[in-house]
Amino acid sequence: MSSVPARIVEFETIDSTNTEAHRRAVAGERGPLWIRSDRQEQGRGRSGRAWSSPPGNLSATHLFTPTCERTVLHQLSFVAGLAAYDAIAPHLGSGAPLQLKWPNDVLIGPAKVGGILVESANYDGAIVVIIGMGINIAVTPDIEGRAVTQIDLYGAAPTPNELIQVLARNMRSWLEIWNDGHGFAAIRTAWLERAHAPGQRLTVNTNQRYLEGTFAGLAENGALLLATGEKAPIKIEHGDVSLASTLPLSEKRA
Amino acid sequence: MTLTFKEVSEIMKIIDASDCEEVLLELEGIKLVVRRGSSETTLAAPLPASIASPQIAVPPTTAQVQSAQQPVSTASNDVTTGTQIRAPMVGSFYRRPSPDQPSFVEIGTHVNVGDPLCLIEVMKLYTTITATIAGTIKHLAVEDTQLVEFDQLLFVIEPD
Repeated sequence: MSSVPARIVEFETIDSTNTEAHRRAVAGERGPLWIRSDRQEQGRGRSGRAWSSPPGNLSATHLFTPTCERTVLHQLSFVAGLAAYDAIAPHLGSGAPLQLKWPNDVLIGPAKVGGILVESANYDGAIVVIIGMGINIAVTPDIEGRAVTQIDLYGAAPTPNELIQVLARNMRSWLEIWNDGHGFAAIRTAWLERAHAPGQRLTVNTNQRYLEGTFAGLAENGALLLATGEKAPIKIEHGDVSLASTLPLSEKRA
Repeated sequence: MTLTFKEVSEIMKIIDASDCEEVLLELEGIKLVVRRGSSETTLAAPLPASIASPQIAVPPTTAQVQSAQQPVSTASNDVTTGTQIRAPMVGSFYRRPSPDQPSFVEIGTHVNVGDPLCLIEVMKLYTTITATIAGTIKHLAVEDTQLVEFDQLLFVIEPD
């Protein structure tokens, strides 16, 4: 993994920093590069969902070219979550319940403060990774059906430019620890230290089914372990995970 | 070769009574993967239509048959000719960039090298699978949103 500091390019307005990263990758860019924009007109999240990107919040994308096997690229979801968490944490007052939710949502309490979209593609034989990050600093976007919040409700708000400097340093550090997948055990441990507590009630919506259970940790490959009352936790490798209400499952079903 | 529903159930009962954490059973034309404690049990084609994509609960493993992969559409049943595009990783297969957008490709779509064919998602990493050769899509092997195994056939492209 290269430890070369990443360049940062900035825009006032852009369609999407991830889309710009793909355009640059097609043109031969291999990173490490950060792209930041004050505003995104077509910001996007997972599954093609729109991601609101008003001025005052951070909208940025990291492009780089790891040398790992493709089978460990999913671990970068956790690496990115750690970098975002560590960039936000110093700006929050003591006691603010900052936490990670599988695999890389950054929450304050139950509300989302940062979202991450990790993509990879093969460009001319090179596996390029493109990680988009949206962090709500001064504005809370309206996301239907989701609890959302912003940093400055909990402490001194950085500017987007200040935050990306910290984020870039954090990402570089965590990528060095990850070491193309050889250091994932340390990533997993650090992630668990920053995640919600074991026993947290979760709901999981995969394409095939809806599950309820409690958080039982991470498998060695990073899969979510969901305890559902069966003798062994279920390994979840895909699906939307939400913090469930505090009601006991039996009451919730009723 | 095909397996009946009863035969699949019997196999899973035997596995359930064992201490195995993971079983990979490969027969002629069939691959059965069972992981204890996982949400995934995968049967690869061919299967009788009656068990093409059922949900079979076999407690206490919680194993379920989730993806009996059969060709979803094809211009020709011959997938041995043409360039095969296979899954580079395990994950969820998406034919569309988002649920409200059209598929990247259909049977008959002409693609150039580098054109996107599908997405595979695992743990929120979305990998774009691209065409490695210019040609025409001849065969679509996987349904949208299904789980795919490593090296599973996704597409066949008839080269220009």
